Amino acid sequence: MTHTPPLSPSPVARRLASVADVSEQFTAANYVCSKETATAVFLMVHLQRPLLVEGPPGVGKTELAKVLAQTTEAQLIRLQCYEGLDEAKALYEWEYSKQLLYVQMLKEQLGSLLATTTSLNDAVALLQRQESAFFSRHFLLPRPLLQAIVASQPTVLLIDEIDRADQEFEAFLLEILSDFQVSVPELGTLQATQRPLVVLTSNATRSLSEALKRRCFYLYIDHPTLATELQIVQRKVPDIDSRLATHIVQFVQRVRQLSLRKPPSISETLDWALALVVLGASVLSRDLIVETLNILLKDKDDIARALREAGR
Amino acid sequence: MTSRIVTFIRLLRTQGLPVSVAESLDALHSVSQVGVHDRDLLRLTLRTALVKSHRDFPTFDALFERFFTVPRRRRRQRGQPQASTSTGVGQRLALPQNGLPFTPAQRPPPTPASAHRPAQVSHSDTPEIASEETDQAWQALAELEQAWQEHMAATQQSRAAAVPEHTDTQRAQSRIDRPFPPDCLADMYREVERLAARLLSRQALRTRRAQTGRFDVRRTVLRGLRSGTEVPFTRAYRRRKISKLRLIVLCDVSGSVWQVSTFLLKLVHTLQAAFASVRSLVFVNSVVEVTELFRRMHFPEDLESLRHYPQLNLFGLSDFGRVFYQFSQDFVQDLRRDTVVLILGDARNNAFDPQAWALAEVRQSCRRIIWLNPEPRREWNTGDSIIAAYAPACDQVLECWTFEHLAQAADALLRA
Repeated sequence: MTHTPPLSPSPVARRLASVADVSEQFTAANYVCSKETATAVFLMVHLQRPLLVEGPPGVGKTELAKVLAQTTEAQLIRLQCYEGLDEAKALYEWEYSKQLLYVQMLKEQLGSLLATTTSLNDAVALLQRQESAFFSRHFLLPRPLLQAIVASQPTVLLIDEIDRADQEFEAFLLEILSDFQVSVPELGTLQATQRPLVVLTSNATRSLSEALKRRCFYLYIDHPTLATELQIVQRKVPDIDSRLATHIVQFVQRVRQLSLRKPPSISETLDWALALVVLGASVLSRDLIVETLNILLKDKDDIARALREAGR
Repeated sequence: MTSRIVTFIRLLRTQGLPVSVAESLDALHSVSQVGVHDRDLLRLTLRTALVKSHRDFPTFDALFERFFTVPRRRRRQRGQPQASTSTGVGQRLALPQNGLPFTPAQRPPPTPASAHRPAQVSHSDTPEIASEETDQAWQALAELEQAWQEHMAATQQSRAAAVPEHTDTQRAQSRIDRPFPPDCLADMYREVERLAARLLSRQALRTRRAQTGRFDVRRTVLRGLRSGTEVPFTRAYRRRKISKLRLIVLCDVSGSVWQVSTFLLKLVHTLQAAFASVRSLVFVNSVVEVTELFRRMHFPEDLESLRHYPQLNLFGLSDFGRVFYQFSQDFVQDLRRDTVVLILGDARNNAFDPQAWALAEVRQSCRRIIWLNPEPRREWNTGDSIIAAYAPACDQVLECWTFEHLAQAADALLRA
């Protein structure tokens, strides 16, 4: 692992020159971020470390990566993790069928090539010399990780829900995150021309390995405060009545205090706000809550509890 | 500044935050990027680089607050030089001795201690005061150390007290060998179910993958050559045979390990689909088969009925030797090549004869023996625990006193 900070700032780093810049540009991209988030993003960009983002579902972890890509004008490459994800799905695969197709199409060339040889040994030796043609980049099917490494333009690599992948995969990821290089046995080592910005997200359903955490900066995004959430709602649902927005957010914040099975996320708050706007509501009445609460909460018991809370 | 941050990192380590050298370097690089003008920004920067779990945030924040605080020098100068009793650790830490107490806003560039003191620190530049300050500094250091120890003891206590909280993520680390409050118990069983579901899906994937196998280039080419066509049409796969195993669970249900046993039984029974057959036996000083009972049982409500099961004397003394002897007599004919025997017990034999040979005999006629011990490893072979006597007969001896251990054990079982 190398620990020298980059000597010349990348274009991305120049774009996000200070923590305040990060805040500003993210807000301009409709992502209201706290100072913690801005600091973490600033650091990851400037020191080129991966950023591990943890937090409850639906607080905007994935969105953070998307906005980062948007503000830095980088392409976003996403790797969604799931149980059983392996190298072939994450890194690269040989395109077997394409290889086969080419062999068939080049049958005559191969025949004429081999016509000059006299013994089987010669033929094999000759074929071996041509082998590289069939194990070239041409037949390599790059999966997200390799795509991010060989990309020539600025890239944000989002490794989503890393806690869902197996531990083996996590270990395999370590190598890539520290060196940004991949060795393909038939081709040799592929080195990243420019380091992608890596964002890893986790819902903390299991604890990640210390080794992985050590290589990353860490950011925990919690459910937003009332003021922040109100700001988010007003930004994302621009034509909402400000009083209604306040009521909605206040109610959601109160509901989150209850010990629910699944507390409402920001995205659900937004869905709810949007639904209420579409319904043409101007105040949050009890009837309205009863009718539309299933947008905010997706569990029968949770809804019952929240309604009891609303009655008060 | 560097040395102060390094000192701070050392303090973090004494508080149990695992900070590696690599992370320290990251922190220093980060600070050099953001500068030290904004105190809150410095806190967030250090936290981003050093703390990798949000559960450690409060500890970090409290430490930062105390460590990087401007000393209240002015008040002391007004004739109460010893008034440090009420100041916090960090205030005392910011010693005048090193000439550069951390004063984020007003701090001038570092200069030698005597040449230019920051205005806020010193209102007098006379050497007498300086030596007095040094004395004070030493005293403050001693105080600091004491305060430090108190603080550590206090945090450790509060950490220990915080263990029974059962939020989702803490649950994985929480000990399962301690009794739970009843309302948490249902949660725990739900957690066991979730774990089982996860293991099942993983197992299903493993089987599915084993069915197709991995593509085998060598054999594909060979096959193509053999059939006379130059193009290898038929693909060959490397297959690994995964067959379902038979499982016999042998659980100690005496008082000390009762709870872990019930979790394990619950887990195993939820995992039934992954095995060809599951049989559950429980014992204190003799073996009782409870497979039938478990088949129609509701967890956790019906568990109590196990306590009143005939032939099972829950108040007896655990006797592993006798149990293994009985097992080797009564059950050995049911063991097959694909049978895995899973034993859960603390191997506290109350000084009875271990009869480890009986277990060795069982091992002869089954595929694997996995032993789960619900005690931390350091307590093994202490007192009347004789796990070392049984270990040679087992293929794996695992700790099993947190939820994570249980998950690992189940995984080891599925891979057996």
